[in-house]
Amino acid sequence: MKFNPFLFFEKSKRLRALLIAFIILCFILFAIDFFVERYVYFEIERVYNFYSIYGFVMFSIIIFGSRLLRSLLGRSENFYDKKAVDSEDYPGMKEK
Amino acid sequence: MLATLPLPFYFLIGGLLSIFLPKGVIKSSFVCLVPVLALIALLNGTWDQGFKVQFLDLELNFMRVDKLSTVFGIIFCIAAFLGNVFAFHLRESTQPFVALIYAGAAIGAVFAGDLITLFVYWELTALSSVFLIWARKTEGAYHSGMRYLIIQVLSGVILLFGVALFYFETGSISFVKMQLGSLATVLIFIAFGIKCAFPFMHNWLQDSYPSATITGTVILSAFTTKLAVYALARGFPGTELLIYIGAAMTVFPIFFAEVENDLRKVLAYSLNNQLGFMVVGVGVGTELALNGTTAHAFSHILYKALLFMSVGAVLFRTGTSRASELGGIYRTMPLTAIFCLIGAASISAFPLFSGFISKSLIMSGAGKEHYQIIWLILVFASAGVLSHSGIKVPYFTFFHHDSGKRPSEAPAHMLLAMGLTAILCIYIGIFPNNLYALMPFQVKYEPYTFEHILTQLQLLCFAILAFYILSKLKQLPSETRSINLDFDWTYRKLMPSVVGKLLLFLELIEQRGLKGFNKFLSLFMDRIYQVSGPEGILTRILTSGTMVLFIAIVLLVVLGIILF
Repeated sequence: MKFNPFLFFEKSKRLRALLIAFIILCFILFAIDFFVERYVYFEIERVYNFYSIYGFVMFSIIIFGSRLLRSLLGRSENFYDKKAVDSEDYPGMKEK
Repeated sequence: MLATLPLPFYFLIGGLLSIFLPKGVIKSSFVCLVPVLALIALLNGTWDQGFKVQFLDLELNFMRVDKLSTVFGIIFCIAAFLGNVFAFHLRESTQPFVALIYAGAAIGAVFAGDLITLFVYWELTALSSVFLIWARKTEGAYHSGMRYLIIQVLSGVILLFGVALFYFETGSISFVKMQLGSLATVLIFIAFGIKCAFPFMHNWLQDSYPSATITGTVILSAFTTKLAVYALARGFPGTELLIYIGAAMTVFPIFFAEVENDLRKVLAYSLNNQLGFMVVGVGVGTELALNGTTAHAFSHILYKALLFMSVGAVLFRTGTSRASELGGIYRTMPLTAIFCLIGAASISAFPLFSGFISKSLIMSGAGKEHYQIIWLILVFASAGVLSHSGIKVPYFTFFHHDSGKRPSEAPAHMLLAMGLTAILCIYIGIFPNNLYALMPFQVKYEPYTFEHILTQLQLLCFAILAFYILSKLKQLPSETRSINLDFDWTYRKLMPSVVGKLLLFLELIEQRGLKGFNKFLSLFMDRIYQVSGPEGILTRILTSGTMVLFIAIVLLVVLGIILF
């Protein structure tokens, strides 16, 4: 059996456990902010859980912003040229 | 003699020698050995006086060795070594040769003490590296390479103009700190900016890196842009304009990276975004920020190479690097997946990984100088890095839905290259002081404070949480085979179409004009023909009798006039 730690999480129970652990970690990180006096460069950092909220909101903005970008600028792979690199597979490589 | 030989010569001579070696293990080992020798030479070298050469009445310095150039020299040697290990399987002459020449050119430019030497190596990086794109040997790669070459050479030509003007203005060619303000320095700045992929000058990067060979991209990713960062840090530290340019560079590539399908293109956009952090550091220009730029360039070269290697290894095994075609590969390429995750964690700046200890120097540099908006943008961009390089690249390559592909694990030499790079990423992350000791200025910074770790984890974990929720709600951009227009549309579509239309217009004018002119000409010729053609009134051939009659009439008239 080859070394493959990912197979350990193939069982949905274990994956779910990992997920729950992650959510608990998020919860702890969120709660801990209440007890910590942070050194700040800017006043805005003093907002309770500034980094958590900023991270969450900005990530969402990136996802929706990029979808908007694709709806405006998305084109087919052959847009520039049928023989452009965009649409070609890597030459001389077959799946091994 | 060897101790004083300029460092780039190791690579240039090594490159030339490599041509004569038999293809295979010997050649591959040799090109791995050259950067190691160069690194040893650099660490033990004696170039305190530089390596000066008289050229006409100019004094060139091939080896200006100080802390700033040394740290870039070190990382370039390491990158060349790792890249060549990754390319160990190549059985050809061009790529190993070019890889050495290219690395040597970049190192030569870093140690150039004057602008003429800088220019020569600046152009050599362009001329050598393009072969890493052409080595793919497809028509698309040929065109990409051509565009790359034109833009890179253009950067060199602009640099040359700038240097010439600078010499006329100041009488000096030494490469030292400059002020934006004269045409000369503006031209030099633009030349650096093109290679550094400033906004609107950036598309060569996303165009060429995904077009290069698997190993070529790994090598390309290390040198050209970081050479430009070095040049900016040397020539224009503290130039405020750079802060805003850098901030723009951190933001816009995020959105493109998020929807690009080709993962090597995603990484190219991500590279652009990372350059933005470094450019901001140069713009802030304090000791802290410049240390940040240098440290970030160092760790960036490693984790970016690692990411390109892991996607390259997948491309090597499956023939594609498209997100839409991949997924579920962790089953058969677990080691590559682990290395990719280490690269992803490093670029996302998780604690204990290299990005964490280098990017924070730049952020603190901007914070300390009270650039609040810029600082907010950089924090935003940090979440962005996580979104495309931290999550998207490993997730869509190795996990996500099962593509059904079961490629075998990457070859041993690729695993070795990735493994060494991954170890370096973690080592730098855990022992930052070893990297900080190389910095141009003394570092008084402690990255591992409780609040720094806490805030960074808050930012990253909640961004991941957002990813999880959005993916459950099926709001993530789908992976479809598509591309997105960027500024290169202007010179790949708009300009050819405008020029094409202009040519058509000129042709039309020519045709219409010619038609009119022809008509006029033919009417004119007809008239001449009528008058003086064979049947023309002036040139008719008359019989002798008619002529005699004509003369008789003339005589009669003359006689009549005389008589009366």
